[in-house]
Amino acid sequence: MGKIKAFFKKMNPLVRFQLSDKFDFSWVKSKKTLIQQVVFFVIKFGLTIGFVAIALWLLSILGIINKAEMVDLYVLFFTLIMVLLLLSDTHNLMLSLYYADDNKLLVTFPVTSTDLFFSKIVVYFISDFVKNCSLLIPVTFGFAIGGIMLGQVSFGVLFWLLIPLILANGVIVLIGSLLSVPYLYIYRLFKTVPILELLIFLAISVLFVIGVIMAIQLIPEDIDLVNQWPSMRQTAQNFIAQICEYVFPFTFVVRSMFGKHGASYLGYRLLGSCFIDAAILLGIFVAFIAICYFVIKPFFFYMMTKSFEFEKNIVDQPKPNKKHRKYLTFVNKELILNIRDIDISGTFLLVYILAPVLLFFMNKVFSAISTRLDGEIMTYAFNIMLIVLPYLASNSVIATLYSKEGRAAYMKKTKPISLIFPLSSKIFFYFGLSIISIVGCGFVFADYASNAGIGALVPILLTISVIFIQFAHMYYSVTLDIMNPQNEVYATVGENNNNPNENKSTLVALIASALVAFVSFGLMRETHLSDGNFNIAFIKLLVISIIAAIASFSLFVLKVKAYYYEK
Amino acid sequence: MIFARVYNTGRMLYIFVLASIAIFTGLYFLSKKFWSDKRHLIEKICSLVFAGIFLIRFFSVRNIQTLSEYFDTFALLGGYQNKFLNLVGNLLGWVEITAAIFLMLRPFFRFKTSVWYVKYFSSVVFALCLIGIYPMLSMIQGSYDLTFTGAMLGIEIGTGFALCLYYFLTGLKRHISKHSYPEVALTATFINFATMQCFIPYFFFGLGNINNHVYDMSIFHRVFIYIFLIALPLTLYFSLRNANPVKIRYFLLIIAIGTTLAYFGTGDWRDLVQPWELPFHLCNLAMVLICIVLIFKPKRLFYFTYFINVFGAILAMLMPNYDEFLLVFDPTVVHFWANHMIAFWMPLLCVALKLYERPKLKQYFYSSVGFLGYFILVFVLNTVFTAYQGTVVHYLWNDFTIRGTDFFFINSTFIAEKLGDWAESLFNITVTWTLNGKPFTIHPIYQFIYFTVYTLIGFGVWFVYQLFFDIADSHYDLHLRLRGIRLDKIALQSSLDGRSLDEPMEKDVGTQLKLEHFSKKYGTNNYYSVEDANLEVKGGEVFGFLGPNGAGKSTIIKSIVGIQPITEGNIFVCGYNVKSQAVHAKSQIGFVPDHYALYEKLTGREYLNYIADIYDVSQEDRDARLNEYIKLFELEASIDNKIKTYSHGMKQKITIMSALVHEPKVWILDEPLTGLDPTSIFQVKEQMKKHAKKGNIVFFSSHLIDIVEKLCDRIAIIKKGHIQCVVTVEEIEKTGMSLEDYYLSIINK
Repeated sequence: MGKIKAFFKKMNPLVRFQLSDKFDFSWVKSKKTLIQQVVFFVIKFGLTIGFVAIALWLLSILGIINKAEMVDLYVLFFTLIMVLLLLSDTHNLMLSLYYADDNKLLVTFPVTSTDLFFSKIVVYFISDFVKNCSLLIPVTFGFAIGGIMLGQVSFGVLFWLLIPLILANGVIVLIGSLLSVPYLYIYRLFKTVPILELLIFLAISVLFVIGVIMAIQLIPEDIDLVNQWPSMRQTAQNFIAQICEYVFPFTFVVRSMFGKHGASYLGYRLLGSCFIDAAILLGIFVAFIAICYFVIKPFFFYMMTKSFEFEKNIVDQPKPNKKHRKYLTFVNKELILNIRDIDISGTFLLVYILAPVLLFFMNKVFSAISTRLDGEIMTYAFNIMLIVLPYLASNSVIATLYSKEGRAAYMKKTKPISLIFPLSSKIFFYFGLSIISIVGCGFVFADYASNAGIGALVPILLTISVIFIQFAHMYYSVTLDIMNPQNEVYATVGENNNNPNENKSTLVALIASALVAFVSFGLMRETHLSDGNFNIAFIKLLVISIIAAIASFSLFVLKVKAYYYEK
Repeated sequence: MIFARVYNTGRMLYIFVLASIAIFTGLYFLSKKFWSDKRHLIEKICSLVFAGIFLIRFFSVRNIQTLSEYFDTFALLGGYQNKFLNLVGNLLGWVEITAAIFLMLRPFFRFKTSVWYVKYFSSVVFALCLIGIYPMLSMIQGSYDLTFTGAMLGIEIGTGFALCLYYFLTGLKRHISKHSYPEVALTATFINFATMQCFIPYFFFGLGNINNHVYDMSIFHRVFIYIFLIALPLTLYFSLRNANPVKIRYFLLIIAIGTTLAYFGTGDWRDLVQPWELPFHLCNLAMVLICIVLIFKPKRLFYFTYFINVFGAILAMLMPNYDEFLLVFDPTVVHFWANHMIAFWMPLLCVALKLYERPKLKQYFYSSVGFLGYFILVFVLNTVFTAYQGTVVHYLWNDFTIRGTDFFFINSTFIAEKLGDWAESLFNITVTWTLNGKPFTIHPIYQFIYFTVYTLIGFGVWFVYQLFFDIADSHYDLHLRLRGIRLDKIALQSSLDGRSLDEPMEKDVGTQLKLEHFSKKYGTNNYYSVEDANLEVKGGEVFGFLGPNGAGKSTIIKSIVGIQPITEGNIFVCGYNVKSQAVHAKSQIGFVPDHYALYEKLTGREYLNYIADIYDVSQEDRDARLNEYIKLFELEASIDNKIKTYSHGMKQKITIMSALVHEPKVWILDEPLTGLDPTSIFQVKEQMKKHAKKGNIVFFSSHLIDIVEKLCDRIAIIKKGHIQCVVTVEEIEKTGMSLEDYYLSIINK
């Protein structure tokens, strides 16, 4: 008992130290910002719950889903989230455990490597839990309330479901920490042989494209949603039931959260066996802690310190000095850095390759559905959203570009050059890549629109508009970074899991994509009624996007002029 | 026949006009003779008297009984006088209100614009009214007869004209400057827009196309109106944000009074004495409250309008409560939008323009208490008037019929219908009792939820307003900074006296680094990190900069190299002003920071070439210099490795090399020797001496006093943001102290 007490006594300052580095708690100090944060959180949390509950209720009322299979639907969602969580946890834990900059400081503290390891796990678990508060937890409560509204789930679930959920999340974090060990070796291999990473990345992309093409072939020629719905629903039901059987560990957790289905009553009930299941889950959790202790402990310290070391290449022949034009040198530097840092460019490449492929797949589904005029316009608007959303959402990385340079970014200020160019050159690489991908999406859209006899002008106008929108949002995102730089965080911690600029950029991306789709829908509907085609609508969209691009770029230039040296 | 009536009525009218002019002109002479020292007070009293006359006339009875009569009177359709007279009468009736408001406020707001408005607008309008008083009267009251209203109009015009004459004569010398013409003309037009009576659009556009009803408007029309509603306050905000608070209050007050008068423009005094006709709807009440708030400045009342009225107006504009079969320019429709527009943006503008501070939790609490009071009041009034509706009561020489009310829409299903069946079912839960034979009905659950939800949402929208204010503030801050940059450029141009912008501001100074009354304050700090620093370093000097941690060494260095802006004073590098000729100044500098900051994924050579590119170093020069430095710092084996593989010392060497690659005239080093091995320290020291020998400046800060003593020609010591002394090493030697003792004696002083 004394040992455990001493362990926790040691953990407390370690965890607090790392948490204060990871999270910005400055808002707690001011009553106003505290209330603001709490109110926003409650509103966001409540809205998500309300949205999910009402959506479930409506889907059930409209007969789109069977209320008895609601919990199975949750199993599907839960599995998906947990798998994604496991992947991201493995990656992030590998970085956090073995590559975090604060390791250099933490290893000097008079604590054992076990203390250090578990403090990192606890900190990671807390940050994971905070992240889950924005999606997984409110959606789970939404399902529970939806279930209660439909008479499928008992009221007591609301007080119980968080316990198995937290335990499951804990298990995922622990599995992630175990998987981070082999992943670390793969990561290091990729770093040593970058071409290998590129090849694997390309292979996955090709496999994905093949998968999409195979899926497209499965789409029937003509989908009549209204008439075919009963049979489609049955197929979906069978599919979900089968999935639930395959993913039995997740089904087990969900059953312990929502209760069991019985033959003698409708819906799910919290029975004694649910608590036994939760106890088993607790046992699994403790077992994983023990496994982590015995498996990782022996070489955690070795692996952590190893990441501080770099192997040098002995260069026999010195390379020549190369002169570039004053402005071209920034682009050249960015190109070199991006090619050498596959982490960032890989994320972009993934989005930029996937966007046109997914659009192509969605359009095949749309083509098979028979629609009226409004429905057709809606599919075009949806197309536009599908094109805009991934590009804008991926710009969240752009909102950290300058900060990620750490203190190296400050040196730019000492150079005798107008800053607009070096700052802009940081996004040229991504902007160039995104243009290629957007043009690809333009071709996919043109192919889809040609079915309705729409000529080349509309896709061309749309492509140019999206390029301008992307340009506007990219500059908006970098302006966020300039106005609220996080250089010191990146310079000291090496990462920032809760970068406000990233969050803002993503939020604006979501709103902007929805707005662009909505405006396009309105414009298309209006011009089709008056002119019989969409040309004017897309000219208007182009004008709006050009205005947005000019406004965003002007603000960037003005803000750099006015604030960059001060921030 | 008509002419005879016109003549008779007109004669009587002018008697009132002339009498008023005579009385007020007489008063003016009397006051000049006897009370010349109390001129301002008398002006204020006269304004208040004029305001009283104006209000009595404004609320006096009109003889317009039916809707058709109303349309006939105000529209350009003819009616009982011709179209031209209708136009003249209506336009005069409109602009006279604006002129009257200018006149009423003139003695309370004494600045140029308020003087100009009276001198150039009110005077002209009242002079025109003297001529057009007859058509004006017929438009206002709907008949040619000389009634009480007519008499009051005569007095009003006469008084107004007399006051204008007075101000015109006393302000003869205060001429409007040419560049102010557009400002005065534009603002006067805008203000007239605010005082526009709700029947004016109808007057100009008439019945129009029979199809133009409210229900014909699409969502895009509605969106257009919303954009217009947002554009208007934005225009006002941008026009007023640089003005002083008095001027802001003046303009907002004019608009508030104008729109309130426009609101009451269709009624008369009888509306004010029937409680069921009073403006107890939240947004109607806002019209009156905003006027009170801007005149008497009661804080709590203001925050009540801020938290409660604004949100109410937004909701109302989203769910207009007029009949959609009305024409789009029907006075009711115009009335609705004008009213809610003011209730929506006026309180927000007051805060955005900083007439009132951003609300705190305390103010929300008071507003909620106020709202509770308001809610109880309308709850009682609705219940009582609905119970007594149809009953005729006699008071103030009139019979009045009590009307059932639905103030704040808590007594009907207007809102419930929009929310759905569940809300209507809540509304239908009623409690009824009978008193004096009258049934009193309340909807307790619906009304309680209504109150609670409204209060909570009122709290929630606080943060939405805050978001907009933050945007407005950041935009204003940007505007101020850009203006500062523009002013700096103008100052630069003027100090260059016609020379090219590429030339140094200070002529023929050669290699020099100069701080001139330099001060630096960080962010919102209320103290200076460095204050009034003066320093001059000449070419060929190795200059040492000493001081304890946090004394301000790095602050000065960072300001010289351009990492942070200068708060006050100037810094010159080789004659270039760092503030306004930053690019030129920086091209003269090479900087070694206290923490190396490099792109770790580039190789050492790539990084050095990148820096050489920025300074546009030729291929020959860079080859020669880089080869020399690589050898000097023993980096041959690792220069083509990635920087991330370097040791701390190697990274520092790369930083030093990058600062020298362009042979800067001023080499600035902030703690440069940290982490270097002894050989490298020696090499850096040698390099510093060599660089200074070439006629350049070496300016460096260090805590290594021995090195500073051996290396430097002159030394500055800084303590708590103030430069304590600038001395040569010889001068210190003459004191018989070592540099260390000298330094400690200065620091511990």
